[in-house]
Amino acid sequence: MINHELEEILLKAKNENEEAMLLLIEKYDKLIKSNSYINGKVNKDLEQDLICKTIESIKKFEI
Amino acid sequence: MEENNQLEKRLTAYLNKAIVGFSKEKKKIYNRYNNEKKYTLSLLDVQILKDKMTINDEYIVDEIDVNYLNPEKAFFDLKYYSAMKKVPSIQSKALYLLEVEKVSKAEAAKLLHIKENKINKLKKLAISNFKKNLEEPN
Repeated sequence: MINHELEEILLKAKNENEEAMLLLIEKYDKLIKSNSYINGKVNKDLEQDLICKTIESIKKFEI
Repeated sequence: MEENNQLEKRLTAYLNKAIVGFSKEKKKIYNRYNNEKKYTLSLLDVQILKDKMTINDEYIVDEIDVNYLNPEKAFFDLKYYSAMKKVPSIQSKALYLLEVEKVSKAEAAKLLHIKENKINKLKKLAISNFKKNLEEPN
């Protein structure tokens, strides 16, 4: 993702644009995955919870 | 460009904090739930046990002598029978007395010649071992 696009994507994501939100989730996918491990395995429920938390956080983020 | 770099750094730090914190909290909840699950019966478990332990045919009831000394006989299904049979005797007796015969902890402890405060521990172990035996391949 080119840096100057980030602000635009963030704005779109905050305005309920699904495509923009997916781009951001993809960008932070590693962070989400690495925090989804329980007992050495990716816990799918936790991963989903973290994706929801990411969406919620992006919406609250002040540019 | 500098501003955009700043924005990305800020967003990454913000999400990192939010995700790591949230993940820690959730993991605590999941672990607590999993530990409780080891020692408690879910509604489905209870229903399965009830189905397996209830004998509707009165004729058969007369023929089968089931009591706390042989709790495994309450199961017709070989899988459940074997799983309960493998549970240490004192544990399965405690489970049967508390859950099927519904006797008080004090009475159960007296029948099993143990201290009252050990009864709950034995019941938990019986459930845990019973589940473990059910999951094990034959």
